[in-house]
Amino acid sequence: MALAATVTLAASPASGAVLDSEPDYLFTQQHRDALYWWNGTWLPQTLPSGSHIQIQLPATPVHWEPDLGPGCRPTPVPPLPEGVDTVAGIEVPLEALEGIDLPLGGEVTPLGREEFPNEGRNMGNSSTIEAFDFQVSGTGVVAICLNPDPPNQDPREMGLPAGPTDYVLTLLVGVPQTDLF
Amino acid sequence: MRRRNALLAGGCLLTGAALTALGVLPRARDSELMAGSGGSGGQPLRDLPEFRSENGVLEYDLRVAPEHLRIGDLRVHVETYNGMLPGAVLRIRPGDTMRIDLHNHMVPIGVPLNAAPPVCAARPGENAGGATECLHAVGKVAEGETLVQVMTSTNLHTHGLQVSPEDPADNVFLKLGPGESHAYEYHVPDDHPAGLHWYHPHSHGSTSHQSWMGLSGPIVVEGDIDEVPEVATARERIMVINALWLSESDGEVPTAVVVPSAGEVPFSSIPAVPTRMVFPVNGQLQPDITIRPGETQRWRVLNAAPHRAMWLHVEEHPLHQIGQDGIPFGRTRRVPAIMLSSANRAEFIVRGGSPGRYRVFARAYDQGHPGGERATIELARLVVEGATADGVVPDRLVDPPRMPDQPVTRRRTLTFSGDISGHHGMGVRFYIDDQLFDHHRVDQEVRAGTVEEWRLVNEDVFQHPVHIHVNPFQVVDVKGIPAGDTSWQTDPEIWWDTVRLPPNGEVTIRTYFRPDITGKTVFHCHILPHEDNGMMGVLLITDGKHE
Ligand SMILES: [Cu+2]
Repeated sequence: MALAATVTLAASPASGAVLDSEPDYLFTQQHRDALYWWNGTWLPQTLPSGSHIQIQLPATPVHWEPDLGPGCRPTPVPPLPEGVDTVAGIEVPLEALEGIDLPLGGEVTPLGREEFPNEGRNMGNSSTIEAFDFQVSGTGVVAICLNPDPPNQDPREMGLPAGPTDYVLTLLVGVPQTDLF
Repeated sequence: MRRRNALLAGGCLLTGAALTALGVLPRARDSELMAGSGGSGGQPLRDLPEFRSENGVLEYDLRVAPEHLRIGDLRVHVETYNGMLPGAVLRIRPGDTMRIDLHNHMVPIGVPLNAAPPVCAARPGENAGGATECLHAVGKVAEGETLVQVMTSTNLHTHGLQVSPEDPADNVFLKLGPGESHAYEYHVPDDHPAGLHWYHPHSHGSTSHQSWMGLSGPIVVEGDIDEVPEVATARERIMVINALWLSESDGEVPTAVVVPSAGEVPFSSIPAVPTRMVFPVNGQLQPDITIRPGETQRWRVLNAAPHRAMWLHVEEHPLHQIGQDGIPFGRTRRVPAIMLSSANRAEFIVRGGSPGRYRVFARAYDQGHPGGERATIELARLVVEGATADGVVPDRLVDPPRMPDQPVTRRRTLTFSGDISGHHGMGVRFYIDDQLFDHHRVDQEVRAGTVEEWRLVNEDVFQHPVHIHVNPFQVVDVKGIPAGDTSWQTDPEIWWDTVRLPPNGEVTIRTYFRPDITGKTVFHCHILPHEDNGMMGVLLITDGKHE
């Protein structure tokens, strides 16, 4: 597949550059890749090269730190429940998929971060939203990781969906879809 | 390995299909589409077309169908009532019969092409756990429960009208799929208050989606207040404020799972698509409303936005309010501004000041949404020009409806809460008494002809505007108004059909279930993404004579 190109993750730190535009695509804790519906479709959502995205996560007391290093990978496919081996009638080759490494191909550039108030708004015990802006470009799969500081074991307390307490967003970049780019 | 290859190929096919669809669709190719700021502004505010009852009967055909519209310099593609945004004004009188034939000609629009559709997604109340969710996909198609099917189902609610909630009248439990029609018939009571009401879709699961397309229209009940001389001589302007949530690529409302977000655009979706929110008045962006110095005009304003509370201000012009939620006041109240939560109506007199241009705006306000305060919205301009007039603001108005002098039969407490983290499955969950809406369950059973007090307790920062169908109510107590927040109107004389709850506060309402209307109906939060995601209950009004 042409979409699985070489790995070129840009790990440049946030430059403090002034953001000149609002993000085009907003992602929240509900878009992370470790969720069954993503796994159910077997395809991350697509977006065009050059997209300005923002990830918003419930924060404070926890704070989030972006990790775009080589250890940032799409979340592996979790096992299906005991005794289930089909999804929507399709037999699932679990043994082949478990731990599969999607080849990465796009490029991620941090653009900056900001914070919004969020006291008492039904997202665990968080009291702010931390927002991280990135530009994604090139062609292929990208993973963007954000790690909680301090580490926390309770996703509910953090205002996250059930599952892991770190955050991975997996996107398929380089698919044109609007006339904005 | 064979099975793995097949699966990966399937994934690529989906990508290919999405690309092909993008290539063949004429949409998203037009470079003007959604271009510019979204405001051309400056057009004179238009009056909406009107249809009036004759000899006590109004018959009207309402066709819900997609239309390409131009709003300011935006091109949008949304479902409309008879091709219009908003729909036409329906004028009736107490004692009238209104017959509306509703035809659903909707098609799925706004389906994002940048991801496999989330057919496996749960809606509230359904199994929300694990990959096996997909096993139910086939069953969901059969039951009309997939996202696309839900979003193209509709029905009609006559918000504020005190009419039967049962067939063939204001039955909100109906679900009309594409190609289906329904003949509604409403009998408006002889004692119906005179004021502004409205019609909009009320099919559980798609009310916010369809409201973000602008599906809404005013209903005016004429009557006593229209004959107050200072009101009768004032030029009438009916204004419908909509909030359109539009994809940047095609001007369509995303058919996707909605999630709240902070920042300029208050919602994203799964999958995410670039969107913006625009706020037309009578389908126009920032129109000019002209008035002469000293002229009085009667403004009848509806907030048909499914989420945003409109704290309505007219720069340098006090508002002389004469009615709320379609129910007239006994005397005019002079106020600096009026808060309209989703679904609220306010009727007031504006008297033109010194010549000039003045902002008509919804002031920035924190209604509890993630990220805090929502920004100020410039809705229109008041243009004061021309020869001076000598309009008079009325003082005494009419005898407003009275709460019957009878004891409170029963007191109830309802609690409102939610979870937007995604912890219970994709999307948000909102609860009344810890339960999601279930149309099979009766949550509150009351007797027609009785007076009750309901304590509505908010366990959220979100200021849920609570709407009870059929009977309006008065607010007898409010607790928890934030210090310094001047947007609250708490006079116990005022009748409401939708009232917002202070953050982590409570409101106690007193209501009279009119004796002549029984049946099964609902109460719910009128932030429609909350209603669609659970915050609604079933109200059964039984015949007081049988017990
Ligand atoms: Cu609500």
